[in-house]
Amino acid sequence: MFWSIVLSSFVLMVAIIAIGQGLYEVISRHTSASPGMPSEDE
Amino acid sequence: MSQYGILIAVLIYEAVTILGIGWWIARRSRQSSAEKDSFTHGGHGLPLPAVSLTMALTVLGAVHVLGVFEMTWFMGASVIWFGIAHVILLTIVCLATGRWVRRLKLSTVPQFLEDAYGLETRLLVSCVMAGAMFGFLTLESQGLGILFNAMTGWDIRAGGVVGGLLGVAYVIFAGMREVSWLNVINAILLYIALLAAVAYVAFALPGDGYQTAAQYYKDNDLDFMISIWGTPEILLTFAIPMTIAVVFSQATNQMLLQTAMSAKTEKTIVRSLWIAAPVNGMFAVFAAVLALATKSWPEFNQLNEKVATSTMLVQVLPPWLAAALLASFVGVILSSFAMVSLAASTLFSTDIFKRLYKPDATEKDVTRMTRICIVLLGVGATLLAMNMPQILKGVNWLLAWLVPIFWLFVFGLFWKRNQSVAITALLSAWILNSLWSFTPLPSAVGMANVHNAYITLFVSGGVMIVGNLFVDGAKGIMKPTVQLANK
Repeated sequence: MFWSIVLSSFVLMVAIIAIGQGLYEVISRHTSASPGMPSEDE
Repeated sequence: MSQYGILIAVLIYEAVTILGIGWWIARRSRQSSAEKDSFTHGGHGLPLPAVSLTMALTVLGAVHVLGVFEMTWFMGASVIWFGIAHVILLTIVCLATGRWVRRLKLSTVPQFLEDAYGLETRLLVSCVMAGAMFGFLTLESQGLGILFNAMTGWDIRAGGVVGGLLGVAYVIFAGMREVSWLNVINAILLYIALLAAVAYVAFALPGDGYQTAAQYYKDNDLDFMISIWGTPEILLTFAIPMTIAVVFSQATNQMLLQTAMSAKTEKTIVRSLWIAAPVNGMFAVFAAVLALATKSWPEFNQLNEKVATSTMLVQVLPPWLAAALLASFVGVILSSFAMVSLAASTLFSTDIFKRLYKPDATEKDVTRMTRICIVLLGVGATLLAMNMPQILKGVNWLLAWLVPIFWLFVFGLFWKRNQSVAITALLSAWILNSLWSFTPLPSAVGMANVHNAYITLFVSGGVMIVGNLFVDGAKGIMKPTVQLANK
């Protein structure tokens, strides 16, 4: 029972991170820098 | 090993790691001491492990360690939402605000506010942010004293003073590099000790371990305590307000963004997400499991919720494991103490000392001033902590001060910039925050249970939106152009 708390929390946290990462990919693909916006460094 | 034996072992561990790593890093960074922001930002060259674990531990401090054990007693596994709120926060920082400050090559958040709005906004935010961080420092110092007391019986004030000294030493020798590498060691110790404690308690619990513990909650009609979804009431009154307060107040806070500013590249910050968020978030999960086990244990069930779990850990775990666990808890609180004092000192040395009084200051001058501030803040916070301010109320009030900065930051980057609107938003939110805490205003308007962060969030957001709609301003610094979907 206690392991289900650990597992469900972990799955929820991974899902939040994955959704955030997905949104980040989508937003960066559909936006481009304005002239004043510095470019991403490497 | 007696409780004092555990205490001595913990103090030796902290002293050896702090002095050893501090000396080693200080020696290695001597050649690069003239490099820009070497002390305060590690020369903007921190690698992935240092960035990710420093982010994770900066927002894992006294409230996590002490608060989760205590709150679990009443709300059960729903307390894990405190960890989930921090996962959302770290996701936003690693993918958005942290990347933006690194891309703009900033040294402080208020530095951006001068570029976006003007010098007055920079100074106003710098002073308030440093003041709020001094408040956090006081609470961390008190938290160290309480932790020592709960696990070893040592006097709270003596523990706070020794904790304050260790906290200053955690950062004073080599600044950001020292903090970040100590954090790597402490994060590893934390997870080894925490997982070992959870496993050991499984065998030590009466009956079938955690199975029997879960049965206790079912037999007592407390099923909601063993689910992270708890009750709708807990979700509405705890999970959502907690997430809003944590996310909006910390996403643009210097103490978290200073690590992002110190990263080697923007990609380092993005990759850090998959380490920083789980390391921070899962702490609350394992802490809640330990507290739930304690509550189900007849021997510890009658104890006060503030000390029950720590008492169980000290009495049940073998002394070496109790010592390792306490050392790791002290380590994570020290890491927050060090990062908060470094961030507040950086604000003073960069935004006040260099910007206003000595524009031609060398890297050595700035480092010296930062070190002086770290010592003064550490001593001041430790002395103030002896008055034992209330931790939870203090955190609520302090977090609410930082919330309006989020709007200034996001609107200044992506929408519109007008200094008068920005300052009006800041002042109205800050005045209302103080009225909300120190006068009967909340009860008078029938909103006694409304968190300060909500008030500052909606007031400052409202002023910024209305102001930007009706007052002219410059275009946001990073205002993106949206591409057509079929392009």
